[in-house]
Amino acid sequence: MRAPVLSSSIIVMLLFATGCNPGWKQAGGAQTLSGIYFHHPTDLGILSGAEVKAPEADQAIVSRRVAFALPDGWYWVMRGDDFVATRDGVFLQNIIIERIHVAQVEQSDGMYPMAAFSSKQWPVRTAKYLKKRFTTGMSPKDAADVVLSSRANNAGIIDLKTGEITVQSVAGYRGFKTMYDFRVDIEGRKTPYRTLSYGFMLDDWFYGISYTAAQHYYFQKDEDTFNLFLQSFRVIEK
Amino acid sequence: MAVFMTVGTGCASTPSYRISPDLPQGYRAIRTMGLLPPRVSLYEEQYRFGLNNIVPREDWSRAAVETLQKSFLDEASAIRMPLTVIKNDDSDVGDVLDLFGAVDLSIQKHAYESESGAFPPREPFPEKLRSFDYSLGPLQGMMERHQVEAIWIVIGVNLLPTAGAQWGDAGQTLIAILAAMGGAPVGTLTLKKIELRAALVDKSGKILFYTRLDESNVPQVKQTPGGYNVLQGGYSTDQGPEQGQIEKDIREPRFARRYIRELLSEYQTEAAR
Repeated sequence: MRAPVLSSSIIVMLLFATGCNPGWKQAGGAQTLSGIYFHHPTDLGILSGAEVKAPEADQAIVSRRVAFALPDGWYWVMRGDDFVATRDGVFLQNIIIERIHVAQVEQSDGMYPMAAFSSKQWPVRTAKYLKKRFTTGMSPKDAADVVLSSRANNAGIIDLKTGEITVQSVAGYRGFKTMYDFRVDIEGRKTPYRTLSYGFMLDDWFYGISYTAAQHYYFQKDEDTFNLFLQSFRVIEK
Repeated sequence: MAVFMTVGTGCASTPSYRISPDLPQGYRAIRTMGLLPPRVSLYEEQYRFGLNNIVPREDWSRAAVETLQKSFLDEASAIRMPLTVIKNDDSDVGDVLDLFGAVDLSIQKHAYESESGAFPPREPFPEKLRSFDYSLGPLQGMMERHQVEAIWIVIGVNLLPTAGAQWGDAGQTLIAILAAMGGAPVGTLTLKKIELRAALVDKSGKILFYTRLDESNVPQVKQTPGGYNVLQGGYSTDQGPEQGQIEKDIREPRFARRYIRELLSEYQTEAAR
């Protein structure tokens, strides 16, 4: 167990020391994200007091693949299982795609903590701050409520103001749209942000697509770009 | 607080400033500049139990803001640059400074080359390296109210060590030297004591000029008796550095003016090209 940790640490330190940046990639146009794997925790039977392990234990569960068209001039990185894209920097604007399994309660930033470090500094994450849980077949409004309650539970977000939740088709599935405002503390200044958030449940997974940008000037600047991105988003059938 | 760290060895030097392709045109259109309230945070670096503890000092920060503002006015006057002070009571100042925090962070991350030893590591975007292009959005209303064609925004951080913290830093440096002599890899982390960042913004909100200055690219101010003594909270007339005077203190007018002079010199040199 120690050897992989040590070797990973050495790799991270070497990347850090050489100033190498393996993180951000620039590739506009059609992109496909592979399915992400969720591993049920083992010993579900022990935790629940049953004598036999639950059938889902030790099984890897995979989400659907998704495809979209990334705007030209944007950069992207995988922050753990989240797709994060930006044009000027995540603290100015970002598009995030999340796929969260109904049993998921944790969230990793990935193997290389220094790579695309600003994407890790951006405080918005859903699974990490869940107060409620996604459930299979839950309504779009309830799924939106799970997302918003995660934001309210996120210590990196200040002055959250939520808007109306509407039910609408997202990538051809029955989903939700909502908008909310918040602030993030950047070196003592509380910069205001606005988010357009869309999402839907499919099988045992929540699929979320959001656009966040600094409220002043930047949100409006790239809103149309995001709408085109959203229109291109689709789930690839098994 | 953003803590600026550099590894003790192997730091590559990169230009301190970036300029917009629109600077030459913008420069010709500027008759008077405005100065937003500088935003500088000062911290006391205390050394306890082998660790450096950093304590924010609001009173020191307020003093530094006044010194910087006066220094800017004095240096601008010296080079005959008309300058108007814009105060916090303008309704747009807060929004502009809030957004600038995010823009400044993005510039630091993506508009400079990778620098060996920098922490956190830079994340250069090739397009931002090729063409410096950042904006705060239209600011015509605020600038017309104050009859200026561009504004300066100045932010920064200054760490002021106690005598104990100075010994702590020296101890770390000594350990690093001994380790290097013994063949061990040297990875001492040294806190940067001061950094100022400044931007010149035109009416459209475009950042025409951006710079960051620290002790590596601004000539050191020599310590002489009669300088500012932070422990006494005022100017001393007969104490030398070994008796409590602290260097690299942005509240010290001579020190602040050196930074502002360097800033304006860089701007004028690039604008006149």
